[in-house]
Amino acid sequence: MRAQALTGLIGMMAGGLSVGVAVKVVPPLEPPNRRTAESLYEPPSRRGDDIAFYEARASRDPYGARDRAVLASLYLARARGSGSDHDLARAEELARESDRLRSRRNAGTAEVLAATLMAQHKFAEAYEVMGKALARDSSDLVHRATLGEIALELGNYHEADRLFGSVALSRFEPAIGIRYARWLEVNGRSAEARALFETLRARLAGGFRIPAEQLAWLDLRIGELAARNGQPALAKSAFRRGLALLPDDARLLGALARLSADRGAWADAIQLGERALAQVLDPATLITLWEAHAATGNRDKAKEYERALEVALSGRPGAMHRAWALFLLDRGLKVNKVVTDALQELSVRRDVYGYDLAAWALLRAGRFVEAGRYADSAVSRGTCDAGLNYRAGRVALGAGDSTVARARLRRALEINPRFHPSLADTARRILEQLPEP
Amino acid sequence: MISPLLLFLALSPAGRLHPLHTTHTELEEEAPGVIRIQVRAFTDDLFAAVRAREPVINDSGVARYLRGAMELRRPDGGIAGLTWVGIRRDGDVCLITLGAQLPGGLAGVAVRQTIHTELFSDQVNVVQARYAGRRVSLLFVPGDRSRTLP
Repeated sequence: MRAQALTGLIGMMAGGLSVGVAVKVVPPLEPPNRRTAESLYEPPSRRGDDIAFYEARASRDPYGARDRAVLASLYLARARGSGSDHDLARAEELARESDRLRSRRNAGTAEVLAATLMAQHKFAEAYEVMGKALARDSSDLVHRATLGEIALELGNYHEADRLFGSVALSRFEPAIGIRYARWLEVNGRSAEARALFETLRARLAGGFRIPAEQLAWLDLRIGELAARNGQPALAKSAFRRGLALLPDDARLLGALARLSADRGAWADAIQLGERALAQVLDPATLITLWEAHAATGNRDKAKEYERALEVALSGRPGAMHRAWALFLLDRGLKVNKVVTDALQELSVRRDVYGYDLAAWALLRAGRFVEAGRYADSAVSRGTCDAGLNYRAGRVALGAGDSTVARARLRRALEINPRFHPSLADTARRILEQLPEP
Repeated sequence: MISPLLLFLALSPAGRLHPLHTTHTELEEEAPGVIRIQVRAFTDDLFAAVRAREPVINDSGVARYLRGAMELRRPDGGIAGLTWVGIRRDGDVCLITLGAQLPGGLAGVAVRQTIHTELFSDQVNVVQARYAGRRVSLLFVPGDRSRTLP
């Protein structure tokens, strides 16, 4: 959890109640008191004030669709900061109420509702919501881009191509551009995606009252793309730039920890990962810390992190955590369970990463032919992701196709020669041992 | 209508959530032997836990609950008393500050932190201790007993 305020964003969303730069709330010590009753615990933050303000308005006006939409976005943003289930559920409830109260001229509500659903991995429902919204107003380019983004998540790539093709001229609008960049990324155009993010960032940085949170998020994405494409210096610089704006941002700290781990800089990975952990408990950070402790021979600590991961993710129904599933597979754990879950998820979500996971799980289960089919789908969009290509290469190797295996493993190393602290070397060793055609 | 620009982050592709049941506790040696403990917990979860034990939710009830769920045991086996400093609510999160006297500092202290483990089987509690220029993290899941700080 973190007590980090998205105050600028929220304030502006909430009609200007709060202004300025996102700040970390540093709670002061308070004197002891002995008052009784829950009213004692009034939220002091501006976001809390904004929520209280709009809750009061919504309770006074049972037909207030706009107030409910704003309130939903406030809860959603707070859930993003704290990871609160309750806030996410409340955001969805309010957005649905708002949509029910007013279906026309209430476009922002559809976006918020879709966002709450996507945050919960309910992509099919989000798709339905945005599909209806676009049917009501087919000229809304943000609707198109958002529906395109959901189509990407669902693996409906032809539809995504069509939707993003229709908004290409507006890709420098931030709300469209960030989704367009994702489409570029999935389609193997990572350099273009990064350039677009840089352009968007430069434009926003020169804007008026742009929250630091937004710029830092762009830095995170720029860094992630650079890291994935073998440019660690650029990635580090982007993450550092974001941290200069938000020094305790858990996502940036976690990404920097991951970057350090990929370079084998284990002490840095631990130090940064623990700073991230101080803000929010994130499975990806726990995985990085597990790797770092395992690599440095601290077995007890690695076991502690592994157990925490297992417990934390055990209670999450529905969508599996893909990084955790890969973690399990790499260690030969729960292979059949991951196979079942991965194939089940593909029944509703057929994106390249879903195929990648299914292929890797099937390979681990010894089902080489099926794994090969899924691996073909995983690399079908040409996504510049070394891990994806590495796993597809290993699947091809398992199926006995050394030509395809060689091409994919080489591609993985071209994309990022140091994509993983040990697997990059494994790829090199395999390539050395494969006979030339 | 909400401006599309302002939906920028709310809809961002990298913004998927994996909400987890968790608390965070920070132990810091403010002065030799003086430990400041700050617990961050989701308000709804904390109140639900206290409500299950107390007739009314107030500072005393929260303090009693935390004293039952947390323990700092000195290397000599003695248990440090946890003194109430204060509580504040920051949105959906409660920040509770406690104090403890540990004349020998945090090194070698056995920590137990079981907040909300009676509510959720997937609860993960993070305890981070900062002392002697280092940060040490301990993770607690249901069923865990105490862990000793190095």
